[in-house]
Amino acid sequence: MKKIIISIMVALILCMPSHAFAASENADCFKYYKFQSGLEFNDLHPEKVSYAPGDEVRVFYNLLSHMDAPIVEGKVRVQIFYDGPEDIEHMVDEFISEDDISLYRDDKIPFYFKWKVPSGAKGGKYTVKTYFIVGEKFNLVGISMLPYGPPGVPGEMTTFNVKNADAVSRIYLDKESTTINDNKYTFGTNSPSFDASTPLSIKTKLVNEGTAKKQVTLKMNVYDWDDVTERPIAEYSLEKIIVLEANGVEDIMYDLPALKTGAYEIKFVATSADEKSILKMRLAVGGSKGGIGYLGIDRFPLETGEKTTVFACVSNTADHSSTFEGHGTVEIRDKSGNTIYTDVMDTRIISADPMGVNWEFVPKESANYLTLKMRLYDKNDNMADEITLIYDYSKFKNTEKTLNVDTDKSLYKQGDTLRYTVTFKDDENNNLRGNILAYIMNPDGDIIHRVKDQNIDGTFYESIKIYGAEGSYKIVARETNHDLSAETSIALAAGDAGVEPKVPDGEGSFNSVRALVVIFSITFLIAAFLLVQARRNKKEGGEDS
Amino acid sequence: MKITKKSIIIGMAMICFFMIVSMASGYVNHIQSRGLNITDPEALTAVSENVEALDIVRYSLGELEEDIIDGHGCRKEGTTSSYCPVCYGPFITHTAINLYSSLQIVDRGYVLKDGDTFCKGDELNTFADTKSGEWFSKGGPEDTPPIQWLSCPELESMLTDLIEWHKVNSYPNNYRPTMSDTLPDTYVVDNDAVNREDIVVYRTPVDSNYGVWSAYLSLLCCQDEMTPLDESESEDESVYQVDTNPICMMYFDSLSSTNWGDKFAVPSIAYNYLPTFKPLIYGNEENNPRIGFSGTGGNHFSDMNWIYEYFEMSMFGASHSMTLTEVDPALGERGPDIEIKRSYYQPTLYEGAPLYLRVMVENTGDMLAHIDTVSLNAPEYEILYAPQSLFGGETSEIIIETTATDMSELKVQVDYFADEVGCLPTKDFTESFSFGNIDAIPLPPCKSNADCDVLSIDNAVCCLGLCYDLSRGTCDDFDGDGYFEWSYY
Repeated sequence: MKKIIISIMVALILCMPSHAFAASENADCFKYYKFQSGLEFNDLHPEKVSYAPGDEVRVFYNLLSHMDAPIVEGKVRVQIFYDGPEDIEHMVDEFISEDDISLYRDDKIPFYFKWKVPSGAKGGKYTVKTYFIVGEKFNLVGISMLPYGPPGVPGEMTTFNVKNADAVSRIYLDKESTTINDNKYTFGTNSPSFDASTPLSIKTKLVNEGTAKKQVTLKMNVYDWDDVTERPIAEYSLEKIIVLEANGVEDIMYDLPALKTGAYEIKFVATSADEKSILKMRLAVGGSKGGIGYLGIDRFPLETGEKTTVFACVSNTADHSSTFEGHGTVEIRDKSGNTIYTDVMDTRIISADPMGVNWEFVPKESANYLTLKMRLYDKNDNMADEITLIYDYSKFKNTEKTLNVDTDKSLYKQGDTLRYTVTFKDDENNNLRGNILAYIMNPDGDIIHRVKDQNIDGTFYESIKIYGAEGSYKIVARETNHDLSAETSIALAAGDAGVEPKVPDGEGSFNSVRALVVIFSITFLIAAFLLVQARRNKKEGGEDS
Repeated sequence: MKITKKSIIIGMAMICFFMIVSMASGYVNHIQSRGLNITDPEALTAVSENVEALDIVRYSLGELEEDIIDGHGCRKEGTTSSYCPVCYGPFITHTAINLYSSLQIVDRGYVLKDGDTFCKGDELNTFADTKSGEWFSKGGPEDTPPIQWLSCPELESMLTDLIEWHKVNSYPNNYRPTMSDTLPDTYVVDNDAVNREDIVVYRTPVDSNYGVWSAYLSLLCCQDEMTPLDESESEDESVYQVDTNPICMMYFDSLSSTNWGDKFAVPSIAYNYLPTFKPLIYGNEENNPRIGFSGTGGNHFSDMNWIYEYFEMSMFGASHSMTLTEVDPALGERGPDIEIKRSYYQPTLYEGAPLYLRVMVENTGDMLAHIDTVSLNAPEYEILYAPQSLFGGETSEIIIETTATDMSELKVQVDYFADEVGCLPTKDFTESFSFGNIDAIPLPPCKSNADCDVLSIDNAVCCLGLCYDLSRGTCDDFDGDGYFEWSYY
């Protein structure tokens, strides 16, 4: 009995995902999460000083990581502002220029993005603000939901000029006329706060600067916390078509019911042909609303026996004066969905100032792919926030990766099945995930076969029946995310040009195997019929005799 | 080709600024800071080799020295009667400063980057946007008034005046932080103490547990005088070095209250919401100068010794360089030159078959080329592969997939741009290549493979009543309906 109990205990211990040294510990939120300093938009600059309407602006930068902890699921958000003397920081565009970036400390990766100057753009200074966001909402560099200054908190800024000697044609949402509940909304200062029983009425003006009548599509949306999710609260989404007369002005009203406790981003986007105007407003409904401000692990890939720290920042996101009583969980799963590590954040009072929480564990197995998830609950166990990050070693640019392509043999006859295998591995022969383009070229160099956008997880197999001219065929594989390539060659022997392809003839051809089965069946039935008939005849003959 | 090895190495500014501390976690070293070193607008004039103002700081690293956290006219924490001010509302956690610039070195309209070449004889221009910057709190985010820029002698003089002013002046009792339920509409000017029209002290919100306080704040930065351009020559290389030291301080014009202890009326702000870092001057109220219980207003203003010390400090130091290499227009780099060296495609295909165009490209020039767009004059096509860039002498391929139809002149166009301008008239280039005609043969009807044998295409096979090229696909019952279908590879 004792042995059984010990065995069960040992089994239970072995089944535990990982040993946690301690439950969550309070820590400095910014020890690992180096907001605004963890990453640099190095050497952000436009290609030229000045552009004309219709030109394409190219803006260059290097992403340079200073985070000790690896960065995953990074995206670069760009905002373009017209900065006229009387109309500063009028946002004319906002977009994600890069997505799914993974970086280790000191990684430096060059990027550029393009932006087309609208055909009727107003001449003057334009400001480019760049932001780096991790996952769906973590602001690592800059705060894109607070775009206005002076100068706000961009990750980096640069400027260019537009020279337009022709007539200006633009639309804009007038910041000066913007109010919430009849109080002027002050862009670039502090966000107003409301209580949870106050309906909101937002007013602004849409202005047509130009002599042409315009049809404008206006989208008005509310986002919970941040619009970077691109998932507005559906019930509040409105879209209008507005016809603006030449130099016309249209009053815009956007009424919202009282919102629940939290922080919100209200976003107006007006578009007409290549003209765009964006207005972003932030407001809070005061009270207790917990949120996760950052989440990560201090090292990746996980290595067996190496202490690893999970870190998070939590805060009350609705206002500065309330606190949030909450608790949470963290969980790490491997590629197969098996739990590697799980732990809890004990119940605590969380203020508006970000509170760091750390957990330490020692992985029992290495992993180059994992899912890190944190859930934050209120005191009634309602989920207040949930974040998932995927760590994938394949996505780090400056790591050793090997792409290989191989075939099952080197010499083929006409009609043989050519089987090729593409492998994508790291320096320790672990599987990597990627996107494969594979193609086969005949002796003339013409592509006769291709597989595109094939997701690979370590290995990809493909086979084709090969026919064609005698000679050397080349099989090429490219991993498109990292621009890696590999190739191999095979030889195809000569033979009858049409080494009897096993294909049927004629229109409406029927599957040959099935045809054979039918033929055999009919033959069998006829034979059986004849046999039965013969026996019957014999029997009848016998009886007769 | 000879490239003159004359480089201009431009030393970058030394950023020097201070950070605020977190009560819980000691100090924070904030890294992201940017500034520019051109204080004199006249320095933004054209320069050529006489690069008296070429200087860029786009990034600086630094760590806060422990000793600047404590002090500043108060006793250290842990000692008795400690009245060191604690953090001002928005700065209650980690606080940082960003100094942005848009300083650009421009050659014929192109903005140069580190490592670029420029053409001998070109006139380089520096272009700088208005200086801008902002203090902000990590995890806030709370906005602050804009940073205002002065020259360092101006700032020093202003600090001196302020200290002297506060020694003999005190604010009236009605001049103090106010509390309301709403935030101020905007930053409000109040220049009593600063007494300078061009320096603005802003009324700024201070969130507290009890509501919104308004305090008065001004964020001031200065640049040192530019050091003279330091030119040293070693063999045929010239090195130019420029260093400056931006210094930033916060003028926090705060008051104490007559109602100490009353949470609704007390601007205990003097104790609870003051920055804890040295570059601070704050005001005091006439009747109840509680700061430090000194009984006299101005007792806790930074004294001039500290001001002098502050101006001598380099708490954060970073040096960046930008190297620009001058090239001779006659002998300089030719630039990138992408040539399509060879193409591979099947000019005759069955109609509707996938047509793969594979072109071998080589950058026969001597400069990195970035491939911007690849286009084909076909109604529908897909770029299966194109390299992002090609170094001089590098070869790669571009693969395009389209569908075979009769086309009289199929043409591919590659738009690319040079990595740098050098002596080139432009950075943008185009290379195009014509493939000639594409003949798309209607799929011949058939009843058997023998019907397809007469065609010019090898391995023709009859599938579903039409002849196909068996080397390009397969005929099989893919959907299991008992009938064969054709599928291209």
